[in-house]
Amino acid sequence: MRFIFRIIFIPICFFGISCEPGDGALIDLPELKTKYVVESYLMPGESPRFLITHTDGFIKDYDINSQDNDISTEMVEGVVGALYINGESHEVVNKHLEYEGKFYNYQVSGVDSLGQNDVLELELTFPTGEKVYSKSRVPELIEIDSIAFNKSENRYGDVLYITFDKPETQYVRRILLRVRGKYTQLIQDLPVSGSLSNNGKMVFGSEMDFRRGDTVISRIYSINKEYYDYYNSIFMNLQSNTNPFVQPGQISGNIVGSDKVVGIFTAMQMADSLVVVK
Amino acid sequence: MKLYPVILLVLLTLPLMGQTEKSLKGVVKDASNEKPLEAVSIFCKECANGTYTDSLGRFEIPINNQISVHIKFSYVGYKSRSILIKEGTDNLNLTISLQEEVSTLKEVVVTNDSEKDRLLAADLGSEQLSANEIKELPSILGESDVLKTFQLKPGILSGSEGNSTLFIRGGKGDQNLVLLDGIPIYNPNHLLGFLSTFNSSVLQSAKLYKAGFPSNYGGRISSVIDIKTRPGNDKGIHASGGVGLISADLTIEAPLKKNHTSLLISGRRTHIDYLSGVIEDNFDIGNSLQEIPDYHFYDFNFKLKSQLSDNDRLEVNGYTGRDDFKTLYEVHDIDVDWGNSLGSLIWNHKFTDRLFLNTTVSYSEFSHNLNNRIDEFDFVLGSKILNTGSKMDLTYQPRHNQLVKVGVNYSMYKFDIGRLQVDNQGGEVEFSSGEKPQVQELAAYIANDYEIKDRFHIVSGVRFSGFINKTNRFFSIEPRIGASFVVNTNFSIKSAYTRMTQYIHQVSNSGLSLPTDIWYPSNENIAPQYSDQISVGWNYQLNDQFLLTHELYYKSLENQIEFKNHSIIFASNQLDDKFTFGRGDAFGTELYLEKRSGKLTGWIGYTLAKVQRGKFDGISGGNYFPPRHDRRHDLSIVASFAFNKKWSLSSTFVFGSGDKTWLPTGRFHFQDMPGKNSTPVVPVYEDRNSVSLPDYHRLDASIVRKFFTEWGDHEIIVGVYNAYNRKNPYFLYLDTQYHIDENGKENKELPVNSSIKQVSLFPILPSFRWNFKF
Repeated sequence: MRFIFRIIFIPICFFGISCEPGDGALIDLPELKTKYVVESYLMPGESPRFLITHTDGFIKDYDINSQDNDISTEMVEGVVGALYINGESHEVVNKHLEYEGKFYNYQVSGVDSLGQNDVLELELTFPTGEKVYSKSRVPELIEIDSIAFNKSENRYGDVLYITFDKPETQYVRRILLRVRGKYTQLIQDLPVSGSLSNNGKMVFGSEMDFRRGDTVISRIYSINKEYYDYYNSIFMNLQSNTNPFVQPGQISGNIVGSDKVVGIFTAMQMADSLVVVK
Repeated sequence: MKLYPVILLVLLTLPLMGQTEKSLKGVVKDASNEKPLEAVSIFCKECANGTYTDSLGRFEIPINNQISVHIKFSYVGYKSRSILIKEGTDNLNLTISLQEEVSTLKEVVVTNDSEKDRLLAADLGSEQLSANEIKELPSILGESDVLKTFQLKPGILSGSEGNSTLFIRGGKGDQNLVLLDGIPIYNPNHLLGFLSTFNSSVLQSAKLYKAGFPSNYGGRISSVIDIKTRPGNDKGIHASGGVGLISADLTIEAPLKKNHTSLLISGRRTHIDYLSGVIEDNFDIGNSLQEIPDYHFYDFNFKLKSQLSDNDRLEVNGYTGRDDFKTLYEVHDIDVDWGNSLGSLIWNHKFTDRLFLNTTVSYSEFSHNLNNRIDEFDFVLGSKILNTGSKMDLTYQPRHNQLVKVGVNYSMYKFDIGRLQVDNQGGEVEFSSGEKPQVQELAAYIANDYEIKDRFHIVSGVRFSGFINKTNRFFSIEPRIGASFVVNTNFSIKSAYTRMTQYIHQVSNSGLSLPTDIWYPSNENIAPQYSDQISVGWNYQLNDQFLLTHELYYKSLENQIEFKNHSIIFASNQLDDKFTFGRGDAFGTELYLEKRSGKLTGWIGYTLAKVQRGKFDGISGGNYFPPRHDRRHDLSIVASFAFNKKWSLSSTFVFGSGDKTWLPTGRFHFQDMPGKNSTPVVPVYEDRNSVSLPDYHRLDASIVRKFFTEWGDHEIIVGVYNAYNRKNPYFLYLDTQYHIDENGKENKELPVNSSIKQVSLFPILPSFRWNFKF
């Protein structure tokens, strides 16, 4: 019996030991082609600004000294270009700006505001010679129809109604934030296609995430399809790091002219509501 | 228009007249149990004629009875036998018994002749294995496996470490038609693919077609794997079995009516769960692991064969097998079970000595269920494919050098895709979703096998297939043609062209053979896949012991399916939306040197191949990319040495250049729009599968000691898997270290470093198995 136990047990132990992950990677990654990344979200009422960075090798160590959301080490300087608003040219200037906790390294001067349905075009030339082009349009604003709260015992859930009123598919991004004391927490962040609406009507609901005294910030961003696709591709690539049932893919952007440049140049509008739960 | 030449060829070859010598007819049987042997090679030296036995062991070969002739009967795994037919002999109807092969010098001499028969055969791109070959080669934990043995042949790749899934000439795992006694089996794997569902104890033969598919096969575009179980002994009661490290099996066979009706039943079950119970009872496994997961699989084979009359034979076949994996925790249970069930009724009828009919009614089902319990809620996720079918195959031999086959085939499929049921134990919450399409597949074929002057052998045919669902009908015409030409006694050349169509598809994104992979029918969004393959090759008999084979192939794969970028696959209710369609090419060359006689036997197989897929909407801009199984070099060396009747040593060495995988090459901080203060690190992916895994290589060995006793024979097999402990890649994963804040928590938005790590599965692994038979 002892003999039989040994001849069975020892190989099973081998099997168990073997299932431990091995050492660090033994593989050769293909040579990294550094890409430029353009991020630009233009909104009526705000002057246009851009963040232009570059990618790093995926397995390159991070700079621990610049971990506090500081992406200045990745910023790309020396890009020249122009922003066209309804055909009128405005120079893109290499100028740093910190605005509402975000960092930008390019601005356009002389433009105070954008209007609904304005046509926007961007031309950029990079220091290494790449020339790219992008186009967007300020989408029509989708207003918040109404906001209500469900109550269960001492907790509250947010319910928000909107209406898609165009025959063509419209897109929105719903963001729900909770401000409790000095902490602000993101509760929901959903890009949604109007094709999923019921006769143009759409309802967003939250869990019972709120209590008396909380400030609820509900935002609906009216966005374009290019940004809807871009955001989904970013989100799925992030998911694919941890979920084996998610396919990764290439970033879906609207910057054309060079495969060395990815990113988004898009316009959007925002409707928001701030409610203090009483 | 393209079809006309093929039909013309079929029709033209039908009336060709052969010579008018007398015919030698008969039946070839296994000497130990009188069961008929299919595909036995029969060769007449003086007449330079050859043929094979049919599924009932019958043959007919023309001879010149004006002279004495020698007829040689050869069959893989059996001693060859030669008989002399003297001139003027009138009795030209024979029953030949062949004995199972035992490795001795004598039989080695005999198998020399079978090399010559192989040289003359018309088969291109086919591999055949006997039960003995499968059993004696080294294997993981001593569990012999027919599909793993096939992986040692050129052009047939394994999916990943230890996996039974076959990737054949650029095809994927679901593009192989796997038949057990003629019935399709939809998931031929146990233990997540480490073992196949085929219990070696009941196998009679296994034949794999990589090209030159006969017209009676269809429904998959890359290969056909036809596995036959053996009938029970109809003369006396016999038993055989074995005990290994992870499983045990027992087979009992007996005559229900002597020389008339036999029964074979066989069962196999793993005993890992009993062992884990012993470990749990005897060792403190710590608080972190509350219970070792409970896993077992079993399978059960059944075969009843009855010779109803001289002209009628009936067979009833059955198989059922299931895997069950269970973990039970306080608030969270997971129970996954999956398996196949098959049944068939086969009636063989002989109208005349030249006209036979096979009629089959069959049933095949594969299902998986993933049961989750979290607190009070039960989640059931599963899928099922059920196929009921019938077919008739008529074989007519108008003359000794010609065989004509016609047949029809009908299948009804019921799918249950992505079932999701949620209910509360109190019964208040109930939810279910999923699709349940029902479809029908039908086919008819005609094939003509013709030999001219024993030098030119042509096999031609055409298959018409159709697929009908609620809203669509698909039809396809599949021409098949193969030819061989014997240049001289040592050299022959061969060529084949085939078209295959596939109407049902298995979707998986893991690259592993998981039970959660889902079968899906063609519909208005998913067109049938089809392939065209052209292959050419030559056989060269180097000397009495060595046969060298070389084949070249090109295969185009159309309407191939890939998951779209950024799709979520698991528990998706509308899978159609997740697919994108394109095409592929596979081409390569295969070299095969085999030694089948002498104390040392074995083979060396080498494949140089390339596979590419492209023109997929939304993937790499329509450019071509390699699939994961694009393996450039694949080498297998197999050697067995028989010291004497009692001792033998076997060893295999495999090498494969790295498979492909898809990993991020870059990253950037995503700052996003105003209103959200975070900058997650986004991985950047380049083209699909642009990273090569490290090369795979492994050496296995086993030694067999046989014992011949009064009560029966038994053997001990001791082996070692991965003898030099190579850490081969099983899969890679991304490992990211995050910044730890002052509260000791990981901040998932502040990575410190990322690396790519490899999981290796099997280190050096000893094995032991004891087999017996009486």
